[in-house]
Amino acid sequence: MGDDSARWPRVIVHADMDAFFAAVEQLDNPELLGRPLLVGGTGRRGVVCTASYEARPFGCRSAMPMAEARRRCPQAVVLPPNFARYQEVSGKVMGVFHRFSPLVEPLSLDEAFLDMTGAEGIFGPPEEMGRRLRAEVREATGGLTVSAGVAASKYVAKVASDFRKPDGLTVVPPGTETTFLWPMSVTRLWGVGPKTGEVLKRAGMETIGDVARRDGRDIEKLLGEIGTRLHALAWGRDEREVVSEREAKSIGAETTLEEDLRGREEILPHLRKAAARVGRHLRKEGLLAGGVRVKLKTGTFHLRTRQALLKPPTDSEATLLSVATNLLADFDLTEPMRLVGLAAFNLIPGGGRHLQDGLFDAPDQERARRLDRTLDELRERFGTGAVRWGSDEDG
Amino acid sequence: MNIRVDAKALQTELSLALGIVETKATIPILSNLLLRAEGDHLELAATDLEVTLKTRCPAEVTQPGAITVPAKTFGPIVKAFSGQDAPLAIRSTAENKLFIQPEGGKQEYLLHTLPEEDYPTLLQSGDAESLVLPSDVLRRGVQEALVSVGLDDNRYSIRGALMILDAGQLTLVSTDSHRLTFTQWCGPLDAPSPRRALVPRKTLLEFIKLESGGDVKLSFKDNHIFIEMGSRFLYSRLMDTTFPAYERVVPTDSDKKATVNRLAILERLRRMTSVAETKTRAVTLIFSPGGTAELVVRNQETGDEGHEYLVCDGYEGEAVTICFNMDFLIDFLTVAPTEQVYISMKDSGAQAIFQPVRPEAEGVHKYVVMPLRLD
Repeated sequence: MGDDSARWPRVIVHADMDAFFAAVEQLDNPELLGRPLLVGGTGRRGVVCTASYEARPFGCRSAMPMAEARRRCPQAVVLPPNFARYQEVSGKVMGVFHRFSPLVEPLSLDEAFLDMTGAEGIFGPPEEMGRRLRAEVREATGGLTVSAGVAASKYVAKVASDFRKPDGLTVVPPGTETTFLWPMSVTRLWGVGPKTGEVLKRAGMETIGDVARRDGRDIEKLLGEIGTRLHALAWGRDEREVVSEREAKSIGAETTLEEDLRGREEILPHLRKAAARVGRHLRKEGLLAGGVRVKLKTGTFHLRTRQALLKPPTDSEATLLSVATNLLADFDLTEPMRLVGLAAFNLIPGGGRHLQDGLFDAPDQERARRLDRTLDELRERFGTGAVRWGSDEDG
Repeated sequence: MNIRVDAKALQTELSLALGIVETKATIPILSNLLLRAEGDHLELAATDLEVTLKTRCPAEVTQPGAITVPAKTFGPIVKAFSGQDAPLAIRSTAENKLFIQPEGGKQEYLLHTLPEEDYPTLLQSGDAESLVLPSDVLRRGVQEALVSVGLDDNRYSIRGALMILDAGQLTLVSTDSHRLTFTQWCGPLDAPSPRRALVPRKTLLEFIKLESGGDVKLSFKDNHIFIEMGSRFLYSRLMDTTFPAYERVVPTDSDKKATVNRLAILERLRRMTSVAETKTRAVTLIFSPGGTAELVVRNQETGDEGHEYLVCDGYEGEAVTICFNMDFLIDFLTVAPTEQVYISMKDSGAQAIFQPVRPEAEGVHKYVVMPLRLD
């Protein structure tokens, strides 16, 4: 055992509850067990939040208009969502995760990353960790199932958890990532939606293996900066850390939208506004953020979050925005979104700290910092609407 | 293949080759070493497709041949036997195994192999344009440059050093974006045509491990650099990217100049390391016109403080207070080969230059460091 797990540079678990909302309803009302179930808006314009596995063979999917789902599966039971109850069960699930690792990064109510590096001594080899985690979730919730993927990186763990869904466990030991990933479709790469998928397909790349075997620079030429990342992912390389929120304290700003937004371009202006508000708040409190989190709520009320650490910690609006913008690539933006939020966490006092500037970017950063301060002063004197970004005027 | 080889000689070459092999190779054959017995020697090759090393050691070859064997088994076995005087008998068997036995010993090892044909094709420098220079010169430049080379999590374009070859001049530049090394040697150098090449960090690290002495031959062909020293041959892909415009960050308007004893300041900084903040590693240097300097560490996380004092060997200009990441200073002071170093500064916000004090004929070495800024 020691020898086997010694080859694991990191042990990352991605745990994802199976058809969570529907499974909770079936748990609370055993009469629903084994029957097709649709949780979602029951009104005329309602959409499906979650379809139980029994409803899926009929072609029912989340985000589908409820009317359409009902037509496909007329015998399905339809229930309105009960978010308070889902939150309660989610609390139990996250409680189990925290028993396995102090480093838990929740992505939504029903999904999280765990960094279990070095925990082999307590829980056994990676396979055993996954087995025990799944058993404890089932026990703590009274019977809900969770699918888990275990790998040496976040990306591979995430793909692995989906591999044997529902109620499955997939372990991808380091060194076997490419065997696992290469036969899969390019749409399994993080950040590849239908549009990017089409671009890759036209360039002759249908599988992840096709992407990996190309020169990274070709992919970069094809897709820009994100191409480099996709190429690394295709080789199973993903250095991102599991980011847990160490301090409860965070500063956030979010907007609930009147109409659902679709795609990066529609979301960006709202993210920019949120970054500006959070940056201003940080500077006013004399705090620096060690991490930033983007929060999106889908049209079907699924909350999704992605976060990253900020090194060095910052109070700069431009840095918050640029890291948050990069995080957008990790969301599935083909879904309509009804809420856009940004939060700063891992807050530390800012004054009197030493900051390392770069040789090559010093003038820009200093300029951005001075601009932030000047805008703060103007808004202080003339109100928050006094100065706005030109790019906010269009939308 | 059937050979008899001195275990110590084999171990020396093998240890170089093992540095190239990636422990987490995604393509199985890259975990293997290529062994080729011919004439009076055994050739060893290792590659990770970016960097490749070929080397050889003398061997009595009864039957020539080539085979590949996993580095992680072959390496430790040879190392274990290299402590003994007995030569090793190594041969391939009919079952495609590699048989290893110390002469006169009862121990025997049989390792699984993969055929030579599965191994990536290795390049030759062939008719490439080449030049020769003393290996010590290149080694010193590379050692100095390595201090500032960006690490793997930095931007791609700075994870290597820029090598500029021109008539009578070898220049190396590297940066991790917080500091920069510019090192230049002038001497008899017959560069056929001026050349700029971006050499990956791993290539530089592996070059340093090769023994020095004698000359080194550098060749360039098809976006590769070939480095030949005696029977050792290292080559790698060059980085196909643009190195940052380094010229503009080397300051020319520094008007405060301190000359200090290298070991004296190094010793003081090392004493302060345990007190410094783990994240910023901040140390403040306060120079006074009289030529005295105070070094201050204040750890805001723990409340600890440290003060050291230093008398400069020379000082020009007004007083200046400037703060650095102390690890950056220690890195430079550790490799600088001279008794004294020269520090040129402008103010607390502008980058400073550290240089070894030596005659210009021995080459230029500028280490540019961005100070820490107090927010």
